[in-house]
Amino acid sequence: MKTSIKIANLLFALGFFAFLALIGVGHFALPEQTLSVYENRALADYPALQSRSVADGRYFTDLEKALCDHTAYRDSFLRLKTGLDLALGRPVVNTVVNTGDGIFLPYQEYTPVDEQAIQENTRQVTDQLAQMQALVEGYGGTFLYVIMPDQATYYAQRYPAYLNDGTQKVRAAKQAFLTAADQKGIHLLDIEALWAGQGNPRAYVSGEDHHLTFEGGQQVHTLLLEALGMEQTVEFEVTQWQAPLFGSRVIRLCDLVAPTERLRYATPTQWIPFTKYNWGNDTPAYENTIALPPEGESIRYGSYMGGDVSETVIQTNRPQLNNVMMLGDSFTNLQETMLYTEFNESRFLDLRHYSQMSAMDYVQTHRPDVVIIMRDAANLAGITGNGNLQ
Amino acid sequence: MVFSSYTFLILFLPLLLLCYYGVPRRFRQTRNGILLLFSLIFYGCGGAWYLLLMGTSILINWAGGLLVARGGPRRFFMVCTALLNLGLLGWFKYAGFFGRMLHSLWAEIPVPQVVLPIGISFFTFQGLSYVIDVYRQPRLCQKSLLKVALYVALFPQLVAGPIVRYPDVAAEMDSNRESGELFADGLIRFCFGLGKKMLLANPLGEVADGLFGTDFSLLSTGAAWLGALAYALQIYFDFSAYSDMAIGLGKVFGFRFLENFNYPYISRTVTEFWRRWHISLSGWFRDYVYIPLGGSRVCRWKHIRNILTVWLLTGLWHGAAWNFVLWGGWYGLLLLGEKFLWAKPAEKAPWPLRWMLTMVAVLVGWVFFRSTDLSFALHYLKAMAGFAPAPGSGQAVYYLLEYWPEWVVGLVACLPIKPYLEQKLPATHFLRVWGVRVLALVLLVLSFMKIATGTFNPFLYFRF
Repeated sequence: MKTSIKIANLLFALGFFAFLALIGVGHFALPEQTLSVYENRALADYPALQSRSVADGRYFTDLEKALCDHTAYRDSFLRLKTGLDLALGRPVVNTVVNTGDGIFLPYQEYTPVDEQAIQENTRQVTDQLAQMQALVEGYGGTFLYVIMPDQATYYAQRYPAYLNDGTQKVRAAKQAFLTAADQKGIHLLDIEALWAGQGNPRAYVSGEDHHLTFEGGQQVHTLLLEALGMEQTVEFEVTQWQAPLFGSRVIRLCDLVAPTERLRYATPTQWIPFTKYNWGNDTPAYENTIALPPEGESIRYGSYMGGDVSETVIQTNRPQLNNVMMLGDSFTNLQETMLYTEFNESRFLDLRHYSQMSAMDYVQTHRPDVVIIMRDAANLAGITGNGNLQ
Repeated sequence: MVFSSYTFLILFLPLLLLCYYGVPRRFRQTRNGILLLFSLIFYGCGGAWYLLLMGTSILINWAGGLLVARGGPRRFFMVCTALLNLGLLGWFKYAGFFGRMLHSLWAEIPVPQVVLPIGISFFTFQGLSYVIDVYRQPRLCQKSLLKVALYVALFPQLVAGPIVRYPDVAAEMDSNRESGELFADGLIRFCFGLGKKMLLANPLGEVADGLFGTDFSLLSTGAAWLGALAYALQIYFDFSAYSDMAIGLGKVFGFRFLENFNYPYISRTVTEFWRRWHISLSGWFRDYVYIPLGGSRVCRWKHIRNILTVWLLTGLWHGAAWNFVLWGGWYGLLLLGEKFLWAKPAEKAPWPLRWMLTMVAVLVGWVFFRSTDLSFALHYLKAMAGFAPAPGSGQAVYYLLEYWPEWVVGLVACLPIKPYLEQKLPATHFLRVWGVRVLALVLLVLSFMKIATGTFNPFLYFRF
């Protein structure tokens, strides 16, 4: 009888150390990863060994973070954890709320709405917008501010009743923004309100990503040109990428939920030659507005324009047309793939990554005929990144 | 470094075991030396300069023990050594607290900015207990600096207890204490402790942090109670998990530390609660403060003084802030009430009522303990009492549904199921032999999964 306990102890100890050895050996034997696909980030670097950081303990704290990031089989552990969470029926898994009907929304913290901060921020934002508008119209240009729908607010009614759907904060910010924008005479195209009036059509905003669908993007393109008083002169051929589209919400579920949406992109039926420059480089970038992976591989929203780039310049050598500048977060990426077709030179800016000069100075330097600022409704009161034009 | 970390599990522990068990058993002092070296490395990972503090504490207690045992003015040497120990603790832990207090009265007095070294409360009390025990029994004096150092710095209980008394480990230091059975038992205990920490304490801590961090304008009564309950479970599983891991690791190296927790949440009185919660600390205050002050063998007023002194000091030991003092005072008053006011009437009440009232008292205490300051504690307790500004909260529902496995397992794990099963099932029962070991391995894997994915931090936009 004692023998069985001894055997059990031996097997247990072997199992214990075998597991630790598997992790330890795997750390050195497996190829090193530098990116986490599921988290959309670079993995932590190992800290440099410095006497000061060893003395105060920071070295070992940072070392622990790096070791955890670079754990052998980390992706497998992520999938195991996510799988367990999904199997246990947790309402929020990896900050994603699965509403159960193909729509995945972000978990939103329960925080009070700071009305005062919203008022102050929207005042600041709209002051800058008014200045930008005055600058553009001062040299005869056209200015337009576009309010895009925020996915979480668009599908707010899909949240379970006990979760924060974030609408209180977004509505407060939008109300303050519209009031201030109206007072300052800022030219707006409120696509969020337009679609809300149509009952927030399912086809326009992705259920698996925080951006619009291609159909929504096409609608925005049409609405943009209408608002600018332009006719759409270029027809598009629409192509669907057959491999799955991994949206920003679904990717966090570590391949355990099969995406249903597919990426579509537009190419002009009559090709318009262009030269594209990224990141301010003189050397042209690839001659396409969509960065496609190898055939059969899955794709992401970042394929539009190759993802978020600080500055993209597309020149089509058609001086008879106007020049445009569009500024905004990744919401502009899909629009850029179509917008350039109606302009001579298109400049697309993302102030989260661009720091050569302020947006005001940029406009002053290049004097585009049309200036579009595109922001989603959740960021109307944002005063950093693309909310700071000075 | 903590036990529930990659660095400890994959690097430190295997290397230590290799070095320790690589030395033949007959070289006892070499093995002890290796254990000491790794213990110092363990502590030094939190900040190498803290090793100076550790070294100072070791030297004070070693030299103090020798002087106290030698003869002559033994009491004088004991008091000096105690004052040096308390001086170290007082400076590193309480200088800022008292400085802030004095600064609020006289603005000219600067507030010292002192970083609190990890584990100082624990190893200082261990050192103090050593010197006082040597004073009481001079034969306990350990002449070997290495052994005193090992006693003070032994890594399993260094950072968060249990507070080990020197007589409990003195004999084991020189004996061939290790065995295969103890080794395996220790690893099993370690795995269960690790599971308690990673799979229960940490997730319930997220609930507690979320609810205690909620703006009061959004905090409902239900959410306030849920937060208090979550914290009660978090602190129990966190602390008892650490004790489990410490006791388990002690066994791996042949040491048998005493139990530190005994299912405190089944207590029917506050007195019983403190016989089951952090047993080594309450024992320390009983033996080195309460009894020397006279304990209960004095007049009533001195008895009350003794109880309040112990509990205010217990509160202060836990943290240098008024909310901890209040927490200690709260228990002091409750214990006085049990002793002198409602002991007899309470005995007649049905046990579920006594248990419930005890748990409410404990939860209120935890609110003081968790709060950042007195004002916060009062606001939070007000919300618990039904005066919350927010109506029924979706937040409470979220935390219940999101963490339902932790709630269920956590509440069950508060019950003495293990001793019950040990009583019912023979030692050779399949579940006790194989079930326990398989479960321990599963807990190890799941806990490591949590450690490895603990840095999970997704971004909408790529961070590079």
